[in-house]
Amino acid sequence: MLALRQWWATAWLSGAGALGESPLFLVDYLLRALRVCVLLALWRVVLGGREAASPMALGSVLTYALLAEVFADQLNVRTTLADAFWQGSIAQHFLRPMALVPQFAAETLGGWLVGLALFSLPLLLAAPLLGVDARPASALALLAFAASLALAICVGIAIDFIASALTVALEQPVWLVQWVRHAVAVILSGAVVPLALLPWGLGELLEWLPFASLAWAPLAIYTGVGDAPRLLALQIFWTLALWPLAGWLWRANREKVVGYGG
Amino acid sequence: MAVEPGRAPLRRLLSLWAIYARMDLLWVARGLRVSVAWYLGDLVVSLSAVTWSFLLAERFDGIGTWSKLQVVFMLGLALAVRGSVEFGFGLNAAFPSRRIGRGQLDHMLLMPQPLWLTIASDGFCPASGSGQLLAGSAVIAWAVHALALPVDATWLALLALHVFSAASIMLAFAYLWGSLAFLAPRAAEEINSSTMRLLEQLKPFPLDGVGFGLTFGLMTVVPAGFLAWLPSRVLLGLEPERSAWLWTPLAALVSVALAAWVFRAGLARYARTGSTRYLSHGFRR
Repeated sequence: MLALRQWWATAWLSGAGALGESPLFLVDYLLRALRVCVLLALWRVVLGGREAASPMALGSVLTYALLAEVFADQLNVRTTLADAFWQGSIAQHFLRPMALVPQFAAETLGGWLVGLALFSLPLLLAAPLLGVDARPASALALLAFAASLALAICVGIAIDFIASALTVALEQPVWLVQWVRHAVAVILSGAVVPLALLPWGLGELLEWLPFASLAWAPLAIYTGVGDAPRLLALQIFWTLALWPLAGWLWRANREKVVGYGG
Repeated sequence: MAVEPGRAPLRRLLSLWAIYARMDLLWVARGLRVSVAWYLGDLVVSLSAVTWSFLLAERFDGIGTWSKLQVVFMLGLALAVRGSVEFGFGLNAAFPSRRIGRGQLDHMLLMPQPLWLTIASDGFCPASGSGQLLAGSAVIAWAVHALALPVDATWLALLALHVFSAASIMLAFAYLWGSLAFLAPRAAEEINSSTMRLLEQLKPFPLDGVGFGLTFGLMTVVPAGFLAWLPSRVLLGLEPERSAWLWTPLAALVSVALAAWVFRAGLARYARTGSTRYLSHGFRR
């Protein structure tokens, strides 16, 4: 009970911090909304007249693209661990009476709550205005999506801890590792382009990688274009495989953390 | 190596570039691991920004009315434009909201020279910032060859003009939005990450067919269309208007003037308020 209260208090503090100074942070959401409108228009151009050559119908692609934006933060998890390295506040995290993973998970969740309330939900509600049918393929697909999204977050946090541990182990700049991780994940996870639309059968290959568990799996399940049992099984496999690796890498390197910034 | 404050601005700028170029080269050359990691990382990041557009063009044999090779040319141009910004305005010089939001503008104001000279020089990274520019140039050269474009001195001058103008627009957009950090140093500290990401994601697409409203928006509010699409139309000979070669340079002039005006207004406010981001023991608020 105490652990839950600590966890929730940390999440609340993190969310409130994002709202604290000025409503100008809303500009970020406006820019994201504009990006969604443009991306939807671009998909219509890309598939316009070429639907026969596509394994996904235009409607499914639009739903996929919209959902990818609605759950953008959850489909490519970035905890506040790298920021803590960068700002030097990692030392404070080590001193708190709470395990490190729940601390960062709670801080990340707190940041998400604001985005979910102020961007994701309004965008989902505005879907009909954008000409997108945001409904899931079926009620079962919605249930499977919820499970898949939870697994995607688990895999995402594990990958984030692995990347952070590697930053320390390889003594590389925090932002360089974060950039590369983000860039690789965006391409390989299917967050921007559904894997089914990739040429040369690349999608079938990428589906087996852990990155596909981040975005492609939940979105393909939601839109009904993916084999839900197989995708969920792959996500469970990667969760079970990556968490021990993340734990081992982190434990092996956590004492090598050197703060030289702030 | 010292730069005398009284020198003519242009000569002084060249001297500062020489100093920063040397420091940048030393940074890259300090170890094989650093330089390999840096160039590899830069390559992955830059390619990721344009890869999905290329993959779609490959999958559907083009995008809209653009052929696959024309899309490749546009992607090369997009890389070269971003690379030019990295080349001349690295180290967060193209992310003013971070410098303002973190209170680092004070460091720039302390320099014994005009602020514009500091902005124009201290991000000069010809070694560490050359990766995207080189990659973009190679892609353009390959696409020009594959498309059998007739290249002469005029065309090359036009290419240089458009890359320079598009890079100016990208920077102006960053300073326009980044000036919000004068009002809210914490809330807007990372606003330039969002604006840069927005431009990065929207620039590698041909805008033909997206509709008047969105095209207008992408040529004004978010000028992604000026970064690769319109210059490519001009350079590929797809633009029927004879005066089209002037549009991107003119847009650059207007953007830079607007950004300079907004930034100066923000700076005037900053002169009264300063920055309160750092606590006395060094950490940021």
